[in-house]
Amino acid sequence: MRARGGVYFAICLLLLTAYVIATSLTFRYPRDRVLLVLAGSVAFVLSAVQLTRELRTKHSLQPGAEVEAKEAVAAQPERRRIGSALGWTAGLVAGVYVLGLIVAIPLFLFSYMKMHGVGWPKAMSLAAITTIIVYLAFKLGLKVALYPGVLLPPL
Amino acid sequence: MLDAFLQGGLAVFQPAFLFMMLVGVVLGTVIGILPGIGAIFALSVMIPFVYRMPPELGMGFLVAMVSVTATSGAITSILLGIPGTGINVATVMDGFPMTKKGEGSRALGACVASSMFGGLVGALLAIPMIPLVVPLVMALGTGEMVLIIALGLVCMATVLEGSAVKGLISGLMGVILALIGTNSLTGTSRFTFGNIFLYDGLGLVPVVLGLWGVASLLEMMAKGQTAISKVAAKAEISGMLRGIRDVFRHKWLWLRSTVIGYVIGVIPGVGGAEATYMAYGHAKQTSKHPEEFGTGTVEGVIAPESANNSMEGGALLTTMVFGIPGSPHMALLIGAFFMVGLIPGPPMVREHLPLTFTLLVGVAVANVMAGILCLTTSRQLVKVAFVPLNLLFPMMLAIMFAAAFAAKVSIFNLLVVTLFGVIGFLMGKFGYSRPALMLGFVLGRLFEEYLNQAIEIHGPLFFLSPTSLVLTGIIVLAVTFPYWKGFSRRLRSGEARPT
Repeated sequence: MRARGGVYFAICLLLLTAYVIATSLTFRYPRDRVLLVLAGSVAFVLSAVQLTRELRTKHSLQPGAEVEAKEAVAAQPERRRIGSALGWTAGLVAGVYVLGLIVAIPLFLFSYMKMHGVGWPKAMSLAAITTIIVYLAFKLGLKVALYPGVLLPPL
Repeated sequence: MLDAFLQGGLAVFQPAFLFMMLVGVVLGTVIGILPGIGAIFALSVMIPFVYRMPPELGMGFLVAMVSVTATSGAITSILLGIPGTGINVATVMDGFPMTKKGEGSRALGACVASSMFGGLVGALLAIPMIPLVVPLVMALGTGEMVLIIALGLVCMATVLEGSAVKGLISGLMGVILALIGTNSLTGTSRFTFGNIFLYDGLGLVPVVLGLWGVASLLEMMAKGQTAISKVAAKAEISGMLRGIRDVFRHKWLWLRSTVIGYVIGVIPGVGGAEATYMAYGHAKQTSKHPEEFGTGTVEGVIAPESANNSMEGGALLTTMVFGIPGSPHMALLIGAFFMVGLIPGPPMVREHLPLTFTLLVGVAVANVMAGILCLTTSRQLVKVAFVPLNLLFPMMLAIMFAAAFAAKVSIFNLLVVTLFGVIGFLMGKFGYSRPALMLGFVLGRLFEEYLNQAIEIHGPLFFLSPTSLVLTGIIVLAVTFPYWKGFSRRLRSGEARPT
């Protein structure tokens, strides 16, 4: 599974660097494109080398169907955990966008902790403490106007 | 030069500077205790907070924080067998067996004393080097600066563990990412896709927070850790005093390890882990009883701990004077220098020489502060390692998102943090170098500026001056170094094989 992921990653890099070179060549001034073309070209060649290595590694390993199936099973809980963490992260981004930082942060903290077995008093107090820290550090300390969200008026 | 040293050295003892360093030391100590979370994570979370501080206070705070994470990171290595940071791994080999033998407090005393004195001497060794390297730095022109930056990228990409090809790809991708946005000289928008947010380029803060902060949290979640540690441990005063006496008993080993750490720190791109392993190996080779290493001998704690702290002075010297990071976390520190308006390398030496001295003296003072803090509070500090991950994850994520928003007062930054969190996680999973990408990202714009100037002044063959040729030779050596290393290893194993 690791080898396959590595192959996909190398392919993405190859495509990305090809795109960078192609787009950079359309820039009007040499000042805009010299380093981009240089860095992009070297990165493209190295990505091709890496892709070849990844494909060779996979080929030389030749894992049997049984081994692959075992690896897939072992990777499932990890994927689930990563999926869950990314889901919560995306939820926080969406929450901040809609409700703003000062409302979304305590809501996120409280619901995450409750969903992961933390008791009511602890979850509530930690959510409140973190929100207060954020408010004191950013709003009062750094004088940053905290994002109010699209629903609520600014603080 | 003497004036600059006196001015810079005395500035450390200004109340505001001392206070910021104390805050940095306390934070660095607490963060160092958390296993898996080291100087890089600490920097990524704290860089946004120095954004609006005066440069000397902000950098004093960050430098103090990163200088001491290794000291406290050793506490969990010794008492729990879990390295607090990557550079404390060598300490586990003898530190934890000592705890199992009932000598944990002794190991802790030896560790804190050797770290404190190692860090102090490492920083003091760096100070007299400045007058020697300043004329060299001042003689560098734009062509040489292009090659110096390229050398930094190559060193960061190839000298660290892992694939050199992946390291180089990462560094180059960092350069490409740095060039997103409007070119201030020509007005051309590059890879902005018409998005106003991207006209200014990607910000340092969200990229750092994503690449290390969010990615580290995702890595911990992927491993399925429910709590950072569950093992109980304790620290006693009498044993710690015995450990301190051990450092004086093995003073020559301590001194040799300190020098090893310092020299490794000066070499661009080489991290503390190499310094600790080299010092540990040296201690074992020169010991009268090498067979006891790994079973819980105090020399096995003194050697790596003195090396990992003395490394910081050497690494900071290379970072500030040449603009090349002496270790992976120094790549982030370079970003912080840029953010507060300081340019590491010749401009730093030319315009802020007293501050260069201030920060080096600051490292020495921070190590003393951290030593005293760890000796007096290690019993309480070790409890930090018991913070459950289901509390740490949401709290850190919320604070990092708030920091990312504050850096540009833009909601778009949250998407950048998340995106780079995923990229950082995948890079770690597939063995690509995050420090190299970071360095490329931080130096990319400066690289382009120097390159364009060098081509305009000297033409496309700017790298043919004598100094440039020497630098080009060093770059070629650095690129081929991993292959030479692999070749000589294969040769040795071939020789060792029975015929």
